[in-house]
Order: sequence, then C-alpha cells, then structure tokens
Amino acid sequence: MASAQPTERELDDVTLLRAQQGHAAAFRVLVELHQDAVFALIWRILGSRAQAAVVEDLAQTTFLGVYRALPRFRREGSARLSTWILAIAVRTALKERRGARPMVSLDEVDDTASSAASADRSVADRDFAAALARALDQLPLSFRTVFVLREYHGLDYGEIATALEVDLGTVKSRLSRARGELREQLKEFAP
Amino acid sequence: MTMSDDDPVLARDQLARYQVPSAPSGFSDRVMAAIASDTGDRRSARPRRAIIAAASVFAIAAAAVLFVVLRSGTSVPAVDGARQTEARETIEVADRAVVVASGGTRLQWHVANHDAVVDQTSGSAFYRVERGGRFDVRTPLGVVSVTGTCFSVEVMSMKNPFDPKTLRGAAVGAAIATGVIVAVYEGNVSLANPAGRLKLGAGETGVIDHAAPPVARTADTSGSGALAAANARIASLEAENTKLRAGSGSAAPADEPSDPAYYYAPSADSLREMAQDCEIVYDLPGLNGNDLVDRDRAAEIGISDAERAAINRAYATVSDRAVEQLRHLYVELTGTDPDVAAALSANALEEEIRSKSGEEAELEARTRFARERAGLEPMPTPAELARRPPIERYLQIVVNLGNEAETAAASVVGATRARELRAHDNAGWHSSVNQRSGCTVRHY
Repeated sequence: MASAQPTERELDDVTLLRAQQGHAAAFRVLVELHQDAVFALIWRILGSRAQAAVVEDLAQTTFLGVYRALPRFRREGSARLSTWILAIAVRTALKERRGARPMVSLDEVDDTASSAASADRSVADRDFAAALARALDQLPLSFRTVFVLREYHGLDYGEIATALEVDLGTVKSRLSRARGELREQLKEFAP
Repeated sequence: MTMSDDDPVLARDQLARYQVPSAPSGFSDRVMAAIASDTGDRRSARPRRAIIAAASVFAIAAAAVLFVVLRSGTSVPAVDGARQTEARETIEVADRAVVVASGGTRLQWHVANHDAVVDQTSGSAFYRVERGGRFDVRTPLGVVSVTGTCFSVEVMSMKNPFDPKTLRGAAVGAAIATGVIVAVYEGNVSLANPAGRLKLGAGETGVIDHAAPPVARTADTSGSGALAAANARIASLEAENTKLRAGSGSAAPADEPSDPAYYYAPSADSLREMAQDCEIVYDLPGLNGNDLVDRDRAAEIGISDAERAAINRAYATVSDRAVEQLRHLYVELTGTDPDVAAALSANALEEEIRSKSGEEAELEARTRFARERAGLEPMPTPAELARRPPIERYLQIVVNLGNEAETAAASVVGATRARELRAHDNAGWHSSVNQRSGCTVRHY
C-alpha cells in the first residue's frame, strides 16, 4: 500500500549512469525503486477512473517514456530523478484522465483504491478515506494534481511548477484553493 | 513538513488514510518485456526508405574506408582527438579506451593500428583500456604504459595541487606538491621517465616526480587510507592462501564429509556449527559474465545445448542485477566518483567493499548473518536489512546468489535437474567459499 509518504530514495549515480547507457539490469533497478510512487500518483490522479489494469498500463507507458528520455536526463540538472519521473507520470495520467470517461461510480472509489487492503482498518478510517477520495475526485483536475504532488509525493512548489510547466504563483494558488475546497468537503471530520 | 501538517483535517496522518495499491508483483518484468518489444518494434518498423538511405550511407562510408586503407596501406585509419574538460566527462578514445576525466583535464590522443598514445598534460582521469595494442599515457613527467587494465592518472602542478579527497591524494599524503600519481585498479602498468621504470599491479599506486625514478607509494598506515586497507586485505588473502597450500591452514570442518550439501544446502547441524565459529560457507556462481553451466557439466547431467544457453541467459540477468547491487553498495560506502565505480569489475567491487568496510565490521556482519542462517536469530525483514551496514548486505547478496542461480536454472530445466547441476561433485556452483576467519579479527 502506498500512503502519504513523499519519495525520498534516489537512484545512485552509478546505476543511473548505467541505465542511461542502456543496461537492462540498471533500468530494472530504476523501475523497482520508483514504481510504487508512480502507481500511487496515477491511482490518485485518476481517482474514480482508476482501475488496476488501466493504472498498470499507464505506469508501463510512463516507464517506457522514462526509458526513451533517460539518456537526456542530466543528473547535475535542477530536477531530481524521482521528480523527473513523476513529471512524466503526471503527463501520462493527465492525458488519460482528460480523454476518458469515469469507469466506476464515486461510491465504488473505496472499493477500488482507498480500501483495497483495508480489512484491518477502523470504520472511521475507512469513512474518512472514502470521503477524502471523493473530495479529491471532485476537485478540478489541475487542483487535484498539484495537491497530490505536494502532499503525497513531497514535491516543493518549484518542482511542481517545473513538472506541470506552470508558474510558481499558479502552483500556490491552485494548492491554496485545493486545500480550501477539501476543508469544506471534509468539515464533518474536523475535531 | 507541509503546510497541511498544521491542519487537523489535512494533516499528513489524515491524508495517509487514503491509501492506494502499490505496484503489483512482476511489474518490472512486464516493463522490461515491453521495452524489449518496443525496441524491436521500432527497429522493424523503420521506414524502408530509411533503410535504403542507411545502406547507401554505409556503402559510401565503406568505400571511403576501403579507399583510405588501400591508399595508406594501413589496416585501420588513424584517429586523432583532443579534449579540454570543464566538468567531469566520459570520453571514448577510438575503440581502445573509455576515459572519465575530471574538470580541468587536458587530453590529446592519436590511435593508429590499435596503438594509442594519449597526452595528458593536466587534471585527473580514470582509464579503462581494452586489450589489443599498446596504450601509452604521456604526462609531463613520464609515460604510463599498459596493455589492458583500469587505472587513473592525476597530473599535479603548483597551480593545481592534488585533491586530498581523492583516493590518490589520500594514498600519498601531502608530501608531494607536483608530480603524477598513478593508481592501478586492475591489471598492470609500467611507469617510466628518463630516470627509471617501475611496474605496478592492481591495488598499487606509483608516483612520477621530478628527475627521480618512479616510486611506489602506499597509504599512511596510521590513517584510514583506502590503500592501506586494500593492502591489508591482499596480505590477508595471500597469507591464507599460503597456509592452505602448505596444509597448515584451518582444517576442513569435521562434518564436511558427512554433509554432502555442505557448500550449497548445508544441514541445520552444519549451519549451527558454522554459527558457533562465526563462519559462512557458500557456493558462488561467479559474477564476471562467465556462463553458469559449461559444456562439460551440461553433458554430464544431460542438458542440451539449447537448455544450457537458456540457463546461462537466465543467470546473466541474475548476475547483472547482483553486480548492480554491489555497485550501489560501493558508492554508498565510499561516495566514490560514480563513473569510476561504473568501470570497476565485480571482483574489484567485492574487494573494495570488504577492504573499506574493515575487518571488525565484516566480523560483526558475518557473526550475525551466520546466526540468522542457523535459525538462532530471526532473519531480518527487507526493511531491517536495508538498514544494515553495506558489508552485511554484500554478504547477503553473494551468499544468496547460489540459490538465485539455481532458481534461474530451474526456470529452464525444472527444480530437480537444476539441483543436479548445482550438486555436481558436491561442490555447488563454480566456487566454494569459506569465510572462516573465526570469531576474532586477525591482524596482518
């Protein structure tokens, strides 16, 4: 299960270099290091449209894109590899989300994602998780994406701006509005 | 910390309740298969006209090369090049070498008939040289000659004194203000200047100074120099080999004859005895790109050529991954220049990880791992193992490699025949390894 933990581990420079040179074993290490973050990001951006097969397809598409573009990634550049990969995943997921119709109803969100392995979780936890999933799903996609990158993947404002190719101010305003709308949606859970 | 941590509804622990599935098992396999398929598709889908164009270019190029060959009478055209680096850079010197040069390195090269001459007038560079001709690095103070090896050359001047953080700097200390330092990682090189000549082997460092014959330098043994540790390790191995050859080394374990699977699937009793002596015994399939199964062993077990090839391919994946893990550990342990680490062989990586970890750390790791293998302590979870020192994770990698090789073989010929292959002569895969230094550190 992937929760609200930002991606902290980075691929070491040696493995990265070898992956950039086309060594399959090194690229596999890259995939295994970043796959959970990519899956989590796609699940949360797709929201109610998420289905396991679709998420896996998009994750595969993401890593194919990473593989093709990796030789051009500059490790001495401003972006961390993890952020760079998430940026590709975001673009892949947004493309899918903008072009697709909902595949499941909002009532089913809890069954597909937020409670996929939640047998040991309390009813209150599950209720909040389902409400949060619904609230996120009702956010405009641009707000939702910024919020997920910030809160679930730990990207800073500059990294989000770079990943989404928008201004820093836009990131801040979208994040602020996302938080405001979520607070409103979830006010019944406030202490 | 995010702003939401101040918000009771949107605090991180609240947000964490919205969980989503992790990547399913086998996902990376499917990605790698998709990449292989994608690469193949793209190759086969190349437009016909592009193939024709490429063929035309190739034909013209081939004709040009033929013209040059016939005209000059040489077998391969000469290649010249020069580079002044501003930042770290990887440079290919024709088909003879890959050079990783630090910023501020000046190189010029001439390659003809597979013989290469590189002029390095400043800076620091690591060389990986392919065999197949002379390879000379000329510096302002002397010449470094090799026939196939890994080494580095650091040219120091008053303007550009050595970097004390580098391996060479640590090895020679601050006594030298100018000169050329050569560190050999694999193979042999010779250093020469008008005053004399010096041969160096793997793990040795030499210095070419003004007007004096080249000299070998070792690390300050009172410090933490990497070469001191490496030399100690080499000395320990030589001593152990000498003892074993003379028959005066550690006696074979008493239960070895009665436990035919001692090296590859030791019994519970054997494992407990090993733990008592802080020993780890295992079989090592090899990490240097050699086949897991050779023709002779395959023939004796009744493995066909096609099966043997498939097994070796399956094991190559396992082996590649293990070497990547060793590189990861090495960089984590040393913070070494990654380009340098990328050029080191599996053997060099193993030796470096062990020597830089130190005898005490290795003993501690070996003791704990031996007890865990014997069931005297619980095996670590993956998360716990990730927090263990690199030397312990190194042991886990090499000890488990035999089982991974057997699994790879089983994927081709089934578990029974894979075990037959491994159990042949009761020796396990290629090497039977005893780490039986006992429960105290031996100093040499």
